[in-house]
Amino acid sequence: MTLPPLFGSTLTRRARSFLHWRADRFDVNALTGQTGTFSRAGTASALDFAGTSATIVHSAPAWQMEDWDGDSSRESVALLMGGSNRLWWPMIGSLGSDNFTVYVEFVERGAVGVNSAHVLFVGKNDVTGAYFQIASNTSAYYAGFYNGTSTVTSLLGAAPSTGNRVALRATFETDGKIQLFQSINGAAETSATKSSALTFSGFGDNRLYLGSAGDFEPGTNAFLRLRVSLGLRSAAEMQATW
Amino acid sequence: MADWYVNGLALSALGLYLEDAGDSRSLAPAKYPLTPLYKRAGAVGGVLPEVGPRVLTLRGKLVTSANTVTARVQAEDMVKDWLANAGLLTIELRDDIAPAREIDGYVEQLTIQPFGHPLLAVAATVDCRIVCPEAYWRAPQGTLVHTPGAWLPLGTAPSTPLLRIHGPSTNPSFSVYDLANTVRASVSFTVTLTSSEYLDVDCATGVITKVSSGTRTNGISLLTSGTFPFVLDPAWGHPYRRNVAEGLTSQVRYSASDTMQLFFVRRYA
Repeated sequence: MTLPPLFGSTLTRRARSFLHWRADRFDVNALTGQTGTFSRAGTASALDFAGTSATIVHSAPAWQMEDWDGDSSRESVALLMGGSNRLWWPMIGSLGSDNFTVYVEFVERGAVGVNSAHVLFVGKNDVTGAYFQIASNTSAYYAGFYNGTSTVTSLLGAAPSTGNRVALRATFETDGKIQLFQSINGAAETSATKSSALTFSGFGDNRLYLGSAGDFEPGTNAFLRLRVSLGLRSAAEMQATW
Repeated sequence: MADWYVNGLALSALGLYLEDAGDSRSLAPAKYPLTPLYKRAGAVGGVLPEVGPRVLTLRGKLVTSANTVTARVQAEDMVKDWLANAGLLTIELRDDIAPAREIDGYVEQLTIQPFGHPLLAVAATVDCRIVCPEAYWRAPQGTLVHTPGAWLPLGTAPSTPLLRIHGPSTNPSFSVYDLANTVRASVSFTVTLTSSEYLDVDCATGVITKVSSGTRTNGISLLTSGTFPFVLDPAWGHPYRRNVAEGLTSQVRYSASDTMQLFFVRRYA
């Protein structure tokens, strides 16, 4: 006979994502509980709902209102990254010991035109050791996995233009195969070719950086949402999963 | 046509098509405390009402494209898993005639009743009662306003703001006015903020924090005068409808002494 648990669960939001962060909460901490570590060395400039600019002081996240539904009205909150902005979360558990999917939504603000400008990075702050990344090679975004010795990539065939609404979905399989998908302005996803396999034995660190590769190679974009889930998930699942 | 989403997933994607959304369009119940008068008829009314909680009663049919008993049973499990196992839910109402809005709640009761012959019951009636501790709906997205400006665009229910005052600034202040130009909420601080400092005035948690180059300290002692925490009440402003997408809004006038950011989420009754 199996006895029921002593107590019922408390009324809290139970996440099914590994990590879920939304800019519209005006908080760098993830909804799934991970504490976000944010820093910026200097001031920033960001726009409010009316397009009014303000100078954002040292160390304060640069929240900016963006148009996410294509009606020219700034109705959605985003976090403006790039420059000296840094934001990372600790990934509880050992990411990569199971397949995982990352899904990130942002308004393109120029990163795609800069070589090695980053959207996302899983690894160590000094970029030593193995890592997983989404970055630009100036022609398009690509996903990359470096296991400490070799690299595999999955390169998209098209790049968004400045102001485009971009959703990137990347899958990582435990055998080291990676694949990147892209949706621009709400259109159907296009996919990059899945990479070949590459031996995986853990990342340099279980940190997930948004908008930079550790302490380096920032990418200027306005981020709305980030999700990481275990398993190989579709875009519809990543949009719905909590 | 309204579309209902739970935690980002359309209920129709689960096979659940709503026929009745109960009191979702109604005001949350409000109750004013009344005190009987000794040996006299009547009562003395209180000033502050107890508002909410809001109860949503969603009724609909669970059907599947396969239209089999097996598919129905599987869909029942999906519905129970999605509605009952997620803890606190975010229920979102989207339609093409008003701004989207959402509210948090938990499933208090979920009744699923297959109909038809037991061996042929390919569909079921679903009755779901969701209790929402908060009385008001909220916009799915927050609003960010940079000062200086003149008006705050609110919804139809009070919002609780976060005010971020940027340095450099000396003795900053912020005020909200009603249509009679009477100050309804204000905060004033005695502090000198450098260019690498800011002050967070969080009216949701009642906490004031001074941040110096990323280092956070308690800033409540910097509050010199005012009403803290305060809300932004659309009843102080002028209601108007600019367009269908934005819906009914209320512009509330404010003034700020310095560069500030005001974060809030529009609320709807």
